[in-house]
Amino acid sequence: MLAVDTGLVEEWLSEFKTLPEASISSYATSLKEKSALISSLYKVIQEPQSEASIFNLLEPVCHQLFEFYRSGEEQLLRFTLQFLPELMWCYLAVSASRDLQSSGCIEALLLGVYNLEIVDKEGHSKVLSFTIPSLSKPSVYHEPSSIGSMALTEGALSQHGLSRVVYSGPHPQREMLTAQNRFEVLTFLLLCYNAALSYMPAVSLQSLCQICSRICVCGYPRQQVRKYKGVNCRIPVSSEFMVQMLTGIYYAFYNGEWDLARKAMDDILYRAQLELYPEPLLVANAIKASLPQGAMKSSKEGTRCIQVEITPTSSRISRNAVTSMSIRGHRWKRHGKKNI
Amino acid sequence: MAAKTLHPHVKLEGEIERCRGEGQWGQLRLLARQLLPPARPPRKAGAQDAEDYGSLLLAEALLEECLKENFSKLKDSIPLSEKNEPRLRDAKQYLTDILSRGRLRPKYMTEALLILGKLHYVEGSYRDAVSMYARAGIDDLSTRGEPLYVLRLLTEAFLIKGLSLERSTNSVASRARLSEREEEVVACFQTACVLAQLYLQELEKTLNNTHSRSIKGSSVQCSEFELSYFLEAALQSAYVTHLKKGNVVEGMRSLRETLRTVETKATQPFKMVLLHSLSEDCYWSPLSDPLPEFMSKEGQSCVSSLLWRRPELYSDENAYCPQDNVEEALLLLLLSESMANRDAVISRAPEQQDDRALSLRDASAVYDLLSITLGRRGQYVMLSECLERALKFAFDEFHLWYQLALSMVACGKSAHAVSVLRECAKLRPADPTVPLLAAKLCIGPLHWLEQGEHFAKTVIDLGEDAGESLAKGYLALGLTYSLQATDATLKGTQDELNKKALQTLERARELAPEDPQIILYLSLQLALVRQISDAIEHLQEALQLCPHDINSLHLLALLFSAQKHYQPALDVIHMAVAEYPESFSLLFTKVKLEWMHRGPEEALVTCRHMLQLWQMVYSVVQHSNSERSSSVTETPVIKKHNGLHLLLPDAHDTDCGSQRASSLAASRLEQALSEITVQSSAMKQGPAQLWTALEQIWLQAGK
Repeated sequence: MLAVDTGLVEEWLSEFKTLPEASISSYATSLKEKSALISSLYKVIQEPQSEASIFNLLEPVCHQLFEFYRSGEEQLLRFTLQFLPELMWCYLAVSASRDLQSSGCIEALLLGVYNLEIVDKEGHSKVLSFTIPSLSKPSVYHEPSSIGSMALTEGALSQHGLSRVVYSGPHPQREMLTAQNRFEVLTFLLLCYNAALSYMPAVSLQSLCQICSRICVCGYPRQQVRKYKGVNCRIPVSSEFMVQMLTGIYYAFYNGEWDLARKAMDDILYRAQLELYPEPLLVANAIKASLPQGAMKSSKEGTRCIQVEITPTSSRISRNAVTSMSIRGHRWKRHGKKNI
Repeated sequence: MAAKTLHPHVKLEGEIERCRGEGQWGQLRLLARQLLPPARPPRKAGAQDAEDYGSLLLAEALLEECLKENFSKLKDSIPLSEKNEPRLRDAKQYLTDILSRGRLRPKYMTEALLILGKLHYVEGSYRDAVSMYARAGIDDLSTRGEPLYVLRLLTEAFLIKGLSLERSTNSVASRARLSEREEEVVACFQTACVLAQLYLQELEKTLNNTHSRSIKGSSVQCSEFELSYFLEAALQSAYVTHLKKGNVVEGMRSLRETLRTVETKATQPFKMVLLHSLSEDCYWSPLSDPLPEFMSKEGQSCVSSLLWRRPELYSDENAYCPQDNVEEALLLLLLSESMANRDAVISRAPEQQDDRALSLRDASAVYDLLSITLGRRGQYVMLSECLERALKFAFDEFHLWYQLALSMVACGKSAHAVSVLRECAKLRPADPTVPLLAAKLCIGPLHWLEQGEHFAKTVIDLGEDAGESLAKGYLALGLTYSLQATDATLKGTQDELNKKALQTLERARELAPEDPQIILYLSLQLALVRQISDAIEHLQEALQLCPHDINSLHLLALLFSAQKHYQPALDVIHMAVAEYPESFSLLFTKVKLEWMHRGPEEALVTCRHMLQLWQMVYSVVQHSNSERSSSVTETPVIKKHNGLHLLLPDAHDTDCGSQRASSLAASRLEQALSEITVQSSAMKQGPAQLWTALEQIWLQAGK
């Protein structure tokens, strides 16, 4: 933390306070470009104990980040959101080492964001749901008839037609973080972060990968391999939280952070094996198996680059192979002949 | 063949068109040979004319057959050379002869140009290819009223023009010219893509007609129609180029459009790959892009004039339209899954091994993506059903079996999961996580202690190879012994098992001195055999490592109370309650301690607090239940409430409580306590009345 950083942060703190209402949105747009400021803010969050002067900065910084979030201005909101992984790490690291006082303002910020996110604009509890499509209903991409008969399972019958499924919420308001609700809150926060993943700058994705790796290995023998300093105790995690971490990491893989994401995924897998959590094991195994063979080095410079090839499709599988399709077709043919 | 009948020419002409349309090159070659001398001319033209027409057809057939065999070379764009491919040389000779003589009708001359262009491309002379198309004037050609094969020729022409332009960019000097060129390439691809879809839809119609008419049936089954390389490329190039350049929005738009066209049997296999790539893309497509207005068909302006019709789209008013990209990905994945599942090779015949491996790879790729999507939304029940469908072609495939087992564990199908895990362990005996997971299930929800013992021993047998999991193996074994001791009726067996449990747990401790979980269970075992002060000592170590663990704190409080140190016990409980304000099992202990130590008044206050708390928790549960009632219910999220971080759920903890009961005055109440802990998990599901009744009893007890 240099004097330059302190200066930048202090300037940022005072600038927003004096900002007239009308220029907020243009200010919000310009914030994204200020990479020096962003990296200084990371330093403030990362090194809370380093110096007294910085210690004084953390609290106003958290306060202002919360003000940004509360403003309702989309760009400001995302500006705060990008620091979320780092803030979580900081909070978890401090709370694991039982030095609760120093994380007070971070805790307040996290709780504030959580309490804002669990309600909608009218103040009702938000319930997040999504639709499970059913193949027996036509969609913009298919007609049921072209699929052929579907397996008549119990599940298929009960899901005839579209069904909406709640995947998160309603969540109660929280006044403080306890060991009991900690991961419920953090998981929800990470869910919010993941929903905005594509707006997150590379620095934020890098921070996400790093903190996931740290959370998973600190206190375990692998910490020595990774050479992580600082926190030496184990940080408890919940399996839902790990699944949310994986969602973000999966995105990072294909958006320019191949190496970091790879490391983070390995560490999550390591931890999930030790904890015997089935959910993150399942998702991490799937991600690992679906990775292309070679690293996507080329996507380093130009992010958001999707690797596609013209894929040969037709009949690499020879005609006489027995498939469910061919068995069905077989019967059908014989049936047809009888009719003639 | 069809030649020697009454109207040979008409029939021959029709047959030729059909072959060219459907891509039956072998047959076309035979027909073409009939036109060559000494055959009759097809129309009233000179014999030379007919001969040229024959050579044209022959050239096309030769070229296509040659291409079919060199599919992989085309894919890697390795130019074919005349020297190695005699058919290529012959075809070229025929075509150049035709063009130099120039006797054919303009229509056929154009066709010759188009075919020659293709040939040039295959040879790697991209400039020549482009100039051929310029000579043919493809931009002004019409497909109206032309036979089917013209559509195919044009599709390929646009595609190849695009590809050739793309590959000869280094000759372009200026930047402005380069971007102009790029635009031209993309326009070519888009045209090719639309034409290809049109062609395939038309083709399907014709094929269906011929099928219904002729009983003999043509040799081509519509489902078996093979896409040539160029047709496939035509369908895909447009979005591939977009995506490669990083134009995600454009690429996605064109991909979605392709997907929306009504599929034909021929495109089905191809579509699966498309779906696959789209659903992958969905993950990292910027959410900022609004989903295309699926239902509104905006006329697209840029494509060239010859597109007088557009491919048919799926456009049912009531069609389901995904609302966000996760839903879209899921829909596409489910479609892919149904296709992959249907086309997977299930026979085990050794000669089909390669096919099987291929189809398995494709299918498991789909299942992986499905796992990522559904896992993200916590839909493990559905996922386990999907994965179960995969088993019929996944014999001896560890990955899919393991994924199925994990999804079953995640959605609480414990008994099934154990059987699947047993298979997994056979397939990969060196992996300690598999038997450990099974042991966890056996010890926990299933209470299959013998099986648990077996799985735990499997891990221990791995020895050093189990790595960090070895300690967990000993932990699991120790726990099984301990639980067996609780179940045992004979005092002798009990003591024996308890001793074994303690030894095993101590071994686990040696292996992983830093693991608070192991220490907790070690001290629990010590407590069970009444070595209370040893137990407290160990427990404090565990709390050093993991200060907020609910089970450690609870046990510590109980241990203090067993030593009649009520004040420290209460202090610990207060600390624990501060961190876990909603844990009923802690609160019950608190009530009991207060009753013992401070008298009924204080206990009553806590009881009241519990009642309030219960009401609050209940209403939240009710609320979320009513929200869910209309939908498929996933196993309630709340089940994670009481810390299942432990290998063993709370039940054991309260076992210890009831053991301690003798030292506390009222053993009856402790028994109730253990009931309650069991209840507290059941309570979430519903039988609220019981719960209330129980509370009432407590209130009475308090008084």
